[in-house]
Amino acid sequence: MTRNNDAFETGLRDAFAAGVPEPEYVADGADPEDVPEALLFSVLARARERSSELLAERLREAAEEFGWTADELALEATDEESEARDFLRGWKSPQSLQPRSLARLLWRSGLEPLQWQRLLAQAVASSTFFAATSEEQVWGRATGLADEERAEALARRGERDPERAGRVAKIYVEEVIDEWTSLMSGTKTMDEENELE
Amino acid sequence: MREAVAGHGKALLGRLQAHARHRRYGNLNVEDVFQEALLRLVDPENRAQLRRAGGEILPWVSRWGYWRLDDAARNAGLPIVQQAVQPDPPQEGSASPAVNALRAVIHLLSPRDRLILRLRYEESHSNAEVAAVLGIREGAAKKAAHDARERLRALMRETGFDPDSKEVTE
Repeated sequence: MTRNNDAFETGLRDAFAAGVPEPEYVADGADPEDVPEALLFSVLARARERSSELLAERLREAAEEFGWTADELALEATDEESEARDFLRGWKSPQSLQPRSLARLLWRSGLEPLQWQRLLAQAVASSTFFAATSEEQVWGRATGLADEERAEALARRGERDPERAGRVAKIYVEEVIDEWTSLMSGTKTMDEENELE
Repeated sequence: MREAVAGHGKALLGRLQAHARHRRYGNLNVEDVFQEALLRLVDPENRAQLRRAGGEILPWVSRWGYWRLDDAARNAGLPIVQQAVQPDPPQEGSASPAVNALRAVIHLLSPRDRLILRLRYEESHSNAEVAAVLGIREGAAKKAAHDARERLRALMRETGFDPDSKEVTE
């Protein structure tokens, strides 16, 4: 550590020893404000996409740590490279991949299930929709629904059956973990074989 | 997520609007920050960190939202020190001007950076202990502490203090 760094470090210790109170904010006492429907819709729509994006980010960062680009990692998803690229760019849900393909990406990235299983379940559950009679009515451009009505219908539609979506996600995550486990055991076997050689 | 928006959204939006009004930022960034603040709850790591710290959601997203509004204002060229939160520092007389400056600038850091520095320098936690609190790897905690220090150093320069001056240690 340089002398200047030492000075800065000591300054930090002195500052904290003297006390660094958390700031107090006048705004904490503000009255609530109604959230406009369009903003509510926007937050919920972004939240649905965000889990998939976070998982993709985590995979890209892990791959970059050992010098792989996202496109190189996508090649691991044999026969689903294009879907894998789209997922890794944050454009598609992980569920667009077969469990084995996704497991290969996770395995190659060196991520442990504890680092991704909750996020994966969340991403799949939030992007799982079930066909409903009102679907065309909601999505159709010529339905005559105003933006706010469409927003409301879509917001309701996404949470029509969260328990069922959760079950679908749980099954998918279990399949991915099974595939990941078998890839890991395969690696161990190969490593052990290499050691024997 | 709908519950979070319904439960905390109204209160959070009111707080962010009041903060922007109080600091004369205008409403330009309020809706974006509102959305970003709530989206932070989507990340399971953030939720786990919040649970470990024993915190409540509304103060946590509010603090982060205030910081983002301040940060956006600073990036837009609004003066920093005048806009910064500057609580009355205790023991004002006994600390050097440089240490007082450092203490005031620390409040411009993000809540996460402040937490990391507090754990390292106030509670003397090791990198491993910081990692346990944040739910990250030890290497990541070490890097996070380094990054927080560097951001603090940059903030000091922005506000006209030399962070590497000997005076800081006096």
